Amino acid sequence: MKLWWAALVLTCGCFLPTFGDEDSDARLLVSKNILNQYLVEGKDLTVEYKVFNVGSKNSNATHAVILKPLKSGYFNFTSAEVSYLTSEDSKERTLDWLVFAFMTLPSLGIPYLLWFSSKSRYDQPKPKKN
Amino acid sequence: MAGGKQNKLSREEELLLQDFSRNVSTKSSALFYGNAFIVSAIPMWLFWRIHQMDLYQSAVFFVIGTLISTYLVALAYKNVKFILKHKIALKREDAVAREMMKKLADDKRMTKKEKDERVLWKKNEVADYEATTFSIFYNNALYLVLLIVASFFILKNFNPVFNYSLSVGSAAGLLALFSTSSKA
Repeated sequence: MKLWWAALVLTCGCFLPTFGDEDSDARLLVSKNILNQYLVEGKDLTVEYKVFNVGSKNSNATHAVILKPLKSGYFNFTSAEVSYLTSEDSKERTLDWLVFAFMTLPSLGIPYLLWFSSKSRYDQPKPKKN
Repeated sequence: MAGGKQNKLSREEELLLQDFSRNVSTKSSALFYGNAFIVSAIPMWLFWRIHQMDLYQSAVFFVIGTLISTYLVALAYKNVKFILKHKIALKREDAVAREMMKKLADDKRMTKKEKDERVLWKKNEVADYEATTFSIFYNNALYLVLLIVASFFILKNFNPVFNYSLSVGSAAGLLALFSTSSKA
């Protein structure tokens, strides 16, 4: 009986980490900065993006984009807009799973149909003997 | 048909069936390995797209895993086919004999022995065909179920390389194990 319990606990233990999944969600803060004080036609312009993950897995990343204004004039810089998923497996898996289903279909469907056609040919109720 | 005749026939038939069973022909061996390879390669998609493994960095694991799995799945096909063939041969006996006798009824030149041989040959062919197709279907389905349970439930939170190795290995290994343990 004890052994049985131990087995049950072990089995549940395998699934336990699954429950803690909500903790690994991302929460992002993003900043966009123009590093140049003056914008000059033909000179490099650096835009810096900083991404802070204040979710459970603390980390941050910085990306810099270098541009060159080609003509003079007015230009409005807009704010950065970021859309993200809170974790790797929160969305967009449907298509991958559909492709998977599509891939497995022939390897299951073809042998089954071949077997079934032969079975239904021979597996008929016996005709009554005279 | 008299009882004595029936017994004699089934003994002959057993010999014939055994002759054909374990020694898988080249053609059916190629069919088994081809099918086993396809079903063993499918997990790569899941681990690439859903478990986010890098195709090139993990190429070594993918190749080794697919090859080992191909071998084990083909082994399972063979074993299950061998077990099924006998069962199916017994099940289809009457239907095949009836069909063949109807077909050969008009042929007056053919002797009784020759007709019986034809029936036996046909029975072997039908049993072989059904056992092969069903074995492939059954093992493919079981393999995919085992793989998904292992990789998406039991080993979900492990490192992908470890997850891949263990789930492909255990799915193929269990398949081969089940195929040897079931009794005819």
